[in-house]
Amino acid sequence: MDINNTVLHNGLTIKDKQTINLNLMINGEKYILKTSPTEKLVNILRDQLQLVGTKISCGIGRCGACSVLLDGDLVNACLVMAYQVNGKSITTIEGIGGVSIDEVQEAFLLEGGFQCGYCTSGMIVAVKYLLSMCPNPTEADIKEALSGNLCRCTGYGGIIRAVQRLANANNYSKDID
Amino acid sequence: MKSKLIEKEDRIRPDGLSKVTGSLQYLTDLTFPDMLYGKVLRSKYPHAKILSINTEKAEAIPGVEAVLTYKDVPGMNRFGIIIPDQPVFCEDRVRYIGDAIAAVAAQSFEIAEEALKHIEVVYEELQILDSPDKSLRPNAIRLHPAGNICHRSSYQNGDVQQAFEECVAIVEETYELPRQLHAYMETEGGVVVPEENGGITVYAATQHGFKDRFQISRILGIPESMIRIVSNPIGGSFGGKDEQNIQPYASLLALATKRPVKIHNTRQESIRASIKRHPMKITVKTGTDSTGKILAHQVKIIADKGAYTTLGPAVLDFSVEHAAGPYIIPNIETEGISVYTNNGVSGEFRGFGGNQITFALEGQMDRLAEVLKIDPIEIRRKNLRTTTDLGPLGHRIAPTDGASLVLEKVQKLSKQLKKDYKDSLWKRYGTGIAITMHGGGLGFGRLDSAGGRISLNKQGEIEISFGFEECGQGLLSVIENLVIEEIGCSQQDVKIVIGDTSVVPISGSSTASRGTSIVWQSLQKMKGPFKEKLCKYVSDATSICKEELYLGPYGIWKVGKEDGPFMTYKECAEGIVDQTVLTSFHFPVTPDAVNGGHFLYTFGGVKVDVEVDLLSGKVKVLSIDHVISAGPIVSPKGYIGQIEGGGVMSLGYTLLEDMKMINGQYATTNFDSYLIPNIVDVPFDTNVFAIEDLVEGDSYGPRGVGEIGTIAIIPAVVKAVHDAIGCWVSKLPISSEEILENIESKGMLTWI
Amino acid sequence: MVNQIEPSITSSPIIWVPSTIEEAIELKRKFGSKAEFVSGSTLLQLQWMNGRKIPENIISLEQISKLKEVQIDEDKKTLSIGASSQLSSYKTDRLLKNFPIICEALKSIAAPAVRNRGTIGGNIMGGVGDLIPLFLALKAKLLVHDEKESELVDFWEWLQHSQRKNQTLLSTIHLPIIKECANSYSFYKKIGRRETFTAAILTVSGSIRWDDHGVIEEAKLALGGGDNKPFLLENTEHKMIGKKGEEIDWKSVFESITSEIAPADDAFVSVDYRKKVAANLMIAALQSKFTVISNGKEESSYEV
Repeated sequence: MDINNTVLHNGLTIKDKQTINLNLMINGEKYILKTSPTEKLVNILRDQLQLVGTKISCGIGRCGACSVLLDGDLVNACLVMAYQVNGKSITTIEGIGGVSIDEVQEAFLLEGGFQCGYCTSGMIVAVKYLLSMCPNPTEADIKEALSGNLCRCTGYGGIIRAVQRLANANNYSKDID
Repeated sequence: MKSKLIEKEDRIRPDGLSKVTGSLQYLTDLTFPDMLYGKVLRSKYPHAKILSINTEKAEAIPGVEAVLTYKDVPGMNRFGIIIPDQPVFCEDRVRYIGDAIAAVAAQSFEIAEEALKHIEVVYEELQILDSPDKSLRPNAIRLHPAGNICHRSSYQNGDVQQAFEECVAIVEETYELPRQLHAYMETEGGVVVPEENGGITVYAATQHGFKDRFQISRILGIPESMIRIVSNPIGGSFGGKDEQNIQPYASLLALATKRPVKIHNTRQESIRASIKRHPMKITVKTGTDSTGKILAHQVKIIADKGAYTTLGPAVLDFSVEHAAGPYIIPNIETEGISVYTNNGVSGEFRGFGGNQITFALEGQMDRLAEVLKIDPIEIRRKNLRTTTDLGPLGHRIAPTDGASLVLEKVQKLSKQLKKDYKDSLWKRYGTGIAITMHGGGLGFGRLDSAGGRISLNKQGEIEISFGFEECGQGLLSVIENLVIEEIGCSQQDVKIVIGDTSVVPISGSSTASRGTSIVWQSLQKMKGPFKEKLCKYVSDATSICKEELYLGPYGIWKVGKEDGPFMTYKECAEGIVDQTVLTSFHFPVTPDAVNGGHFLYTFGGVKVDVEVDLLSGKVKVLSIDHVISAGPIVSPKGYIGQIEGGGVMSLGYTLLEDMKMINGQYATTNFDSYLIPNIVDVPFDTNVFAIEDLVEGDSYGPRGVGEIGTIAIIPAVVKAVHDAIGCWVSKLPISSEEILENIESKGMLTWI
Repeated sequence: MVNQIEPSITSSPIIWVPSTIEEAIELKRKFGSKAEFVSGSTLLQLQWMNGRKIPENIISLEQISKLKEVQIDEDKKTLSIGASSQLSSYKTDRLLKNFPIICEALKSIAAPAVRNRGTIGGNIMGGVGDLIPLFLALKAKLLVHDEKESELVDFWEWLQHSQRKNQTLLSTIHLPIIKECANSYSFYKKIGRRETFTAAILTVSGSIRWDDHGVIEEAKLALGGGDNKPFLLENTEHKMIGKKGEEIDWKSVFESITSEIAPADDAFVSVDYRKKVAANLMIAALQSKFTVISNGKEESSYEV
């Protein structure tokens, strides 16, 4: 097998021993990147694409500051390598909300779900993921869903109130449907 | 989780939108054209002589632009807020594993990292002094020229020895507290950009921009005027970013390469080099009469200073001051000693020594209550200060009835059964309370400059400026809310300028729960003259009597004309020339010359419920009620957030967090083994009750609440554990192992 | 719009992405010790950061769909779980949802973002996973492949004796299903320094089966998690077999457990504590069951 220019089964092309051509969608935009196959997604986002809303704090998947959605699933961008996202779709904090802000972002504003803001991008992405799986989360659901996102400022109070506000709103809209 | 605070009208934080959308650029997010990346080589050993440093191989690596050592420091090769005794780069000796030896600037972090591996340092290991006990031995090697004692602090009143003889109950205990990591989510970092005039702009977090400017100027050997510090925004600090961290290295590298240099510590690098909360060992002997009145209180504090001084002396002074807390004790003897070791540097951390000493003090109160069979609230009430009592160092303080108001409220809460927790087969439940008193500001004898500036800028905005930083604590909201309230303008009229030494006035540090106080006091001083200036201008320009004019939303209004401003701020700005008011004052301080004595105090009380698991000895906190007396609330969400967040930070300190060192090396280097509370550890049943009243005639306004929520929760949890299973914990974090041994020895498990 | 960006580059391994088990084995045969099988890599990446050698060739298992299948074989009464099934599959897989103890165990590992990447096979092959004691207690068999053969092996046997674990491809975990399980019980308990998202201080799991008279016919008790070497407590198991619940002397079970196991030691938690907690958790779990049995309120469901 010629390792230069080998097309592998997931459509990933090895250009030479050290780089791959990576195709991916980020926040709805298509990108082709040349990168090391084991480069971490968080570095691709922050350093190559200047999408610095995704934060880096522990670098080992233990704090959630770099949480993004990978094909809709919550992941730590510091624990995902370039080759693992080829052909996939990524949503970062910059891709949440559109012309106006998302309801999760609004709830965080209204309930004081942040202070220094450094965990906030990841936290909001994690809440988006929670609500996508479970629109009306219980206390147990909230705890499970956010157990990988550390916040040192709020003590989680404002974050919990923000999620509960959304859960109540969803509950209400379900009632009137 | 509901807030029990009266639902005050509250605005969205000025920095809120940019934070929830991720668009806010932190200083560690910045990049500049032509930027290099820096890394710092830290010591391999906790204690060693440096025999030689060879950087040649590192310099030869392609992509490496500079390798610096102590030889490359043009000014003073030292830093430290109180005493500059920490080498920027070590010359001939390392004293802890965070000591810096060299720094590299390269085309990428990877290359810089690689270069560090090729710097050859030859060490000769020295004996490691990894505890104050070892450092205090008579034959111990000296860590600093003056020896191994960094600081002593003491306070004495009455005669404890004689008083102990009259005591009916005496309790003696040694309390041990661990080293805690600030664990701000944003690690230290930023970019230093060289400027054309030979100066630099430093984009890096700190809690006192002007102090950074002073320290960096001393290191670089250039005037302060050539250094600009941009220190906003900050991804959390809690005291941890007050001292120099990466600034000296990025500054030296930027000047050496004439290119912008970025340093951003990884979490491991951060843990290795950063300051932590002082581990302390506190031995206390307290005696009372038969009614529970304390007659004598003797306290000995030993603090592990680590390798260098930073703010250590002030922390120890604070602990000594707060040894009696809110209680009036006729005979007291407190002695503190802060000892250099080869451990990580201890420095300032939210609570500033109050956390440790209050754990010991409240622990004594609960143990005495048990011995005397008195209710824990009653013994506290019996000894509690009244409105006009002197402060804990026998000094005059601003009159306050916070202590008794807090205790009263805590008593009410402790009588309301939250839930009917029924002991189950393997669970036991308990409840505990504690209270505390906490000084704000730096204290007597310290330069504690305060001040601010208000102006109508060219754009017609009311520009309010302070030399503070927004670390996340909500300072921007405090400023905005107070300006709107005191000036009468609208939210849109306010422009806040902070965190940039090139444009802000001197306000002192963003520490010591002083920000809110200073903003409020500054506005009291500035609002009159500022309103006067604007009204005078309008009056002169329109010949309307000044007395008929007042400042309101969007402009200057005329009495009787209610349909809109008489002149907009924008219109006013176009003509006005005298539009700025500056104030500069000293933070309110006790008139009595007692070292470090505070003048303004806040009070806090906590009631918690806990669950103890008999199979594992693990403790879980089920509910937290905070009661706070700190004057009027300025920003409701900010206030709740500070108290809840501070409480959980100390919940971690009580149950989980231990930045353990073994032979001078950290036993944990990241969040996989240094565990801070996550959302599962936090009781959804958390409430904050605020007592906003101040005594009549108090003219100091709202107090800061940055620290007060971190204190009383610690002893309250320990008392709750005692309530659940009858054992006293004196060492933190609470050891499941110790709890389990108690469970065993009490025969609570039938198979053991 | 398509954005093209040129990066700065450092040396990296070559990534191979086979779509069948056979191709994966073939690649491994070709590169031998210069290649490693990699799936979610949530643990491997941490080990690489801590100095473990990054292989020259990474054989990614993520595109082999067969490795993600969860199936029930009604004839053989077996639940088979594909090794690349994510740790989060307890939330999405309709079959796994029927096995509460597996769901409980999966939920106790890491946090959602890690569970979305980490796999069940990786948890086992990493050697420190919380699933190891669970699967030991549940008498799992593994379908493993190396360059020569494919083999269904007893998990405990394989753990103790296989010399080439890291050269092996694990494809499926097979668990015997006991339906209508009125006469059996299994448990799983994990204790960490923090409530969740933490390495285990220890993880224990067990399963017992008894006859219609309440006499224990079979017992499996396993310890693992964190740095603890996975261990099956055969001595203690033997002490329980042939007895009824009320005949068991729990003091001697405690003695037996604490003397039989050799848990890990670290800067934060002692061996002695781990021994006692392991015994306490196992005894409490077993006792709770015997109380239920004697109360005669037993509901049956799927169990493994």
